[in-house]
This record gives sequence, C-alpha cells and structure tokens, in this order.
Amino acid sequence: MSCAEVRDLLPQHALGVLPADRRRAVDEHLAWCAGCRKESADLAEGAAVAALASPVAPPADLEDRVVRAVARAAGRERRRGPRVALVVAAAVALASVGLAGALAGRVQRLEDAAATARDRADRAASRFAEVLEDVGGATPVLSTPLEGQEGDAGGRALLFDAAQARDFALVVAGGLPRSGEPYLAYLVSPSGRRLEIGRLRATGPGQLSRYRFFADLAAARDLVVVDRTGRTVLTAEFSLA
Amino acid sequence: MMGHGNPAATGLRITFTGGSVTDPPGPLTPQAEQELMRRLISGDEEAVRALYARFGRPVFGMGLRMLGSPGAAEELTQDVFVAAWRKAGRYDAARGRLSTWLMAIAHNLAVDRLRRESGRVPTAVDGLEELAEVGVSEEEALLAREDVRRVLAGLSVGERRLLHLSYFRGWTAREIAEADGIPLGTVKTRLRTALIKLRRVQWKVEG
Repeated sequence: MSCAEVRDLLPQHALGVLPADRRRAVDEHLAWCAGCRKESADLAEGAAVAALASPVAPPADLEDRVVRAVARAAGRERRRGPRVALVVAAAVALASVGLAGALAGRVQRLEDAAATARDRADRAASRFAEVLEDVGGATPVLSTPLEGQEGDAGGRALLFDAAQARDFALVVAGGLPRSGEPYLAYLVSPSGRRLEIGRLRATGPGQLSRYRFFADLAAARDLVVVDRTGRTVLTAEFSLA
Repeated sequence: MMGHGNPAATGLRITFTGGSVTDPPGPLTPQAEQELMRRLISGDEEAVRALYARFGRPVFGMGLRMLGSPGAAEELTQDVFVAAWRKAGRYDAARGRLSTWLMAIAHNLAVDRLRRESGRVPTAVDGLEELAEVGVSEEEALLAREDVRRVLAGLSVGERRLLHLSYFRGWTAREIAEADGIPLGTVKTRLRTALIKLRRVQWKVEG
C-alpha cells in the first residue's frame, strides 16, 4: 500500500472504523513509514480529544468495582505463577491474512501427523506459535489449554498481543463430534459478558481448527467454545493478555 | 502517539476532575505518566484509582454515548481499566500521551461491542447530536475542558455530525457518504479536517 493510499485511510484508522483487512494493511505500512506514522499520531490525538470531551459522572461505586476487577485479574495471575514474558515483536506484518493463510497449510499438515485429535490440535497450535516466532513476527503472550468437558475433546488457545496492530487469537480444537456443529467460540470479558469471536471450522473427520483475528484480547478473561445447543464444551482460562 | 520534541511534553495536560478523593487529578508530566503505568503493572490499587480519577469520566461518557445504556457503559469502563492494566507494560510515554493511549483502548473496546451487539446497521440517521452539547454540567469543569468544548463548538455542523457518526457510531466513511448522499472523498476530507482541528485545540490547551 502506498503512502497516498494510506493517508487516504488514516482518518478512518484514527476513528477506529476501518474494516479489519484495511486496518491491518495500514498498520503494516505504519510499522515502517515514519511520515505516515506521524500523521497517524496527529489524527489519533484529535480523536482522543473528542473522546475526552464527553465526560459523564459515573455511579459512585464504579471506581471500587473497577479496582476490584483489576485486583481480581491481577490475583488470578499471581495465583498462576510468574507472568509469561510479555514479548511483543516490533513487526506487525504478522497480523496479515496472507501469512496466516500460508501458515494454515503447515498447521494442517502437522495436524495430520499427530496421533489423537486432542494431540493434533495441541501440537498444531504449538507449532503454529513456533512458526510465527521463526519468521520474527509475534510471540504468543499466552498459550493455554482448552479443557474439554468430556471425551477426547481438547485443544489450545494462543493469544498474540500486537503492539500496534490488532491482537489476535489462534484457537485449535480437536475431538469435537460433528453432531455438535456449529461450534462457536466466545471471549468472556472481565465483566462476564460474552463476545462471539467466530465459528470453529471443521477441517477433517474428528478435527476442528480455526484461527481468527480480533481486537483487544486484553479484555478477555476466558475463552469458551459452545456447541449448537449452547452447551459449553471447551474452556480456556486466561491469566494474562 | 506523538512525535519527539513535542512542546506538550512539558506543558499543561487536559485533565478532568474525577470522583476519586484518593488522588485528585492534576497535570502529569510524561515521566509521571510512565511512572503511573509502571505502578499499574503490579496492580497497585492507588495507581488504579489515580488512573480512574483522570479517565473514569471520559471512559464512562464514551461508553454511555456509544452503547446507550449506563449498564453497558459501566461494564465497558471495568473492561477498559482491566485492559489498561494488562497492556500497561507496553505504554511508552515517548510515543504518545496517556490520554490518547487509554482512550484508544476504550474506543476499540466500545466499537467492538457496538459492532457485535448492534450489527452496526446504518439505517435511520440519528438526530444531529452535537459533540459540543454533550457532557456534564458540574461546576467543577476545568478550564482545559471548557477550551475543548469551545473548539468542538467551533467545528462546523457538518464536521461535528461526521465525527459523531464515525467516532461514536462506528460508521465508515462509505456508510456516511451513502446515508448522507455526499461524495466519499468529501467525507474523508471532512473527517481529517475535523480531527486536525481537534488536535490543534489540544495543542492550544497544552501549549
């Protein structure tokens, strides 16, 4: 994408209304272009002024609820041991569909080579993370197992925290019966709200895999996968983002 | 983000009086903002309260404006501060103001929720809700905020409307162009003009 094309999109970028693919393209450009980055920063400051200009007094107890929410999140992390190194790669080109598409093939091949559905999913996800690191992209800030409620179902969720581009998650699951399709994945926010992030797509008998980009993983507390009836079949608890 | 050598680095910050009694907001230097975020990483309660005192109102106000209900705005506010805690290690005062960083987090979360929950269907155009008319009526409003309001009021009606639809309603330039029957290029140009005007206001306040 040229500077002229990027400049044309920067106001919408600052206002947060660009479609995901264009946003990623702009982010990739900004990673190396100082001139456009300066323009982007200026416009973002303007957007922040608009945001700051609408203060409304919240309920008096909201401050304490905020403090408790942060304390809960921090407490969960302390209980789970030392924080995974929060390594954020400088390159944001990682968050591109092209690269993910290329990697998907490798994930699939690795899946096929693994033994059980659960192992397949787990190994594929781990390998995916290694590949991303190999290409100098991003390091997952969290790799956490997806615990199945029954049978062989299981998998792994990897969260990638991008400094400038949007964060994204990779969810690979296996061992889920076809009868339960479609499976939907949700993030659970600290306030308990569920945000749908996508549908798990079957890639072969007994296998399901899915990778998905979305925004602001930092707001995620847990990730759950539910079957067609709404029953939770997989759960991953995040201790950090 | 902001560039290096920014005169705002030593100037007055836009601040708001918050509901907290633990740490009344005042101007913060970039060093103080960085220190605040360093304390926040460890989950320091006073740091959370200090951050909330500065940004609780605008975050809640944004949530109320975008999501439409106090309950949703309260949930958003909690999520924003948890997200700020989680991302605090990545805040770099040399690259931008804390206000820009935090409000971008808030806006991203609000837009995500708006799109997921409302489908963001740009049908009937909302009434001409003007930025400059939104806000609090408390006597405690700081001069800086009033300056911002004056400048918001200085935007043209068209610019305010575009900013409202885009920033607070999540409409793309194309959706606005189609709804209002004006050329896409004009929408983009006006959005940029509005943002640059707003930024100039901030410079004026901080300078």
